[in-house]
Amino acid sequence: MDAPLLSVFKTILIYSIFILASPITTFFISKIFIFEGILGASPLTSNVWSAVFAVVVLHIAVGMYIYRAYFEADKSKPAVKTD
Amino acid sequence: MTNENPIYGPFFGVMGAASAIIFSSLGAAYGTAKSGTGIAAMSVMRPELIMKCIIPVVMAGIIAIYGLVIAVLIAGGIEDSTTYSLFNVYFRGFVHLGAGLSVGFSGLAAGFAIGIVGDAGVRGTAQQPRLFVGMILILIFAEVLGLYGLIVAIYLYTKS
Repeated sequence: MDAPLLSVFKTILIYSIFILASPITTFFISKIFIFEGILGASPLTSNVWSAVFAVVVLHIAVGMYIYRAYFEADKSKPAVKTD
Repeated sequence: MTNENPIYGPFFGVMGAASAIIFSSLGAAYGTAKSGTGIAAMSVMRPELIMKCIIPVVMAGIIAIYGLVIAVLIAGGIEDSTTYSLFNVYFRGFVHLGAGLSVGFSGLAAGFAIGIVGDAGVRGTAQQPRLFVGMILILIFAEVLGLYGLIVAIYLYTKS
């Protein structure tokens, strides 16, 4: 009984960290390194496009979590029942 | 100090940044708490559904990230009152306040919707698992309300 619980906890923990950390890191990395560093854009432009990128990355992360939850829960259901 | 650059000019920008994160977090907190009670009640009988039913909590957390993004944007644009005009050519103060309020109150509304839908949907999913797809769709439509506020806020911010 402990093994599935631990795996579910690990999955949720990893996805939570990913969802919380990815938009913030995307915002600052794309702002400092990509837009202001490589492209040399103005602060306003780089701010706005970094924010758009961060929100897009955030939705991709949430979509991955929903996909995983939708299909993984169906997969793990018989395993719980055989216990 | 002129009429266009009053000494209280940055007050509007600061209030915009503060209201963006305050009201978004208020909505996200309500959504998390309300759907959290639903998850706690549901998982007593169906603990295998927890991974599916965390989704309302995640979506409530997204609302707070919207507010965080706009608050960081506005906070980066606040300057000294001599260069921070309220309604001149670069009318920043009012626009920053408007951007913060739009994402803040949209996030508040979306957080309320996510909380109520998450509570009822999670309890219903425990009894009828086919409800899950419907719950996700309703949650997405509730969360898009916060996204509209974010889009308007970013568009307003580009005016500054």
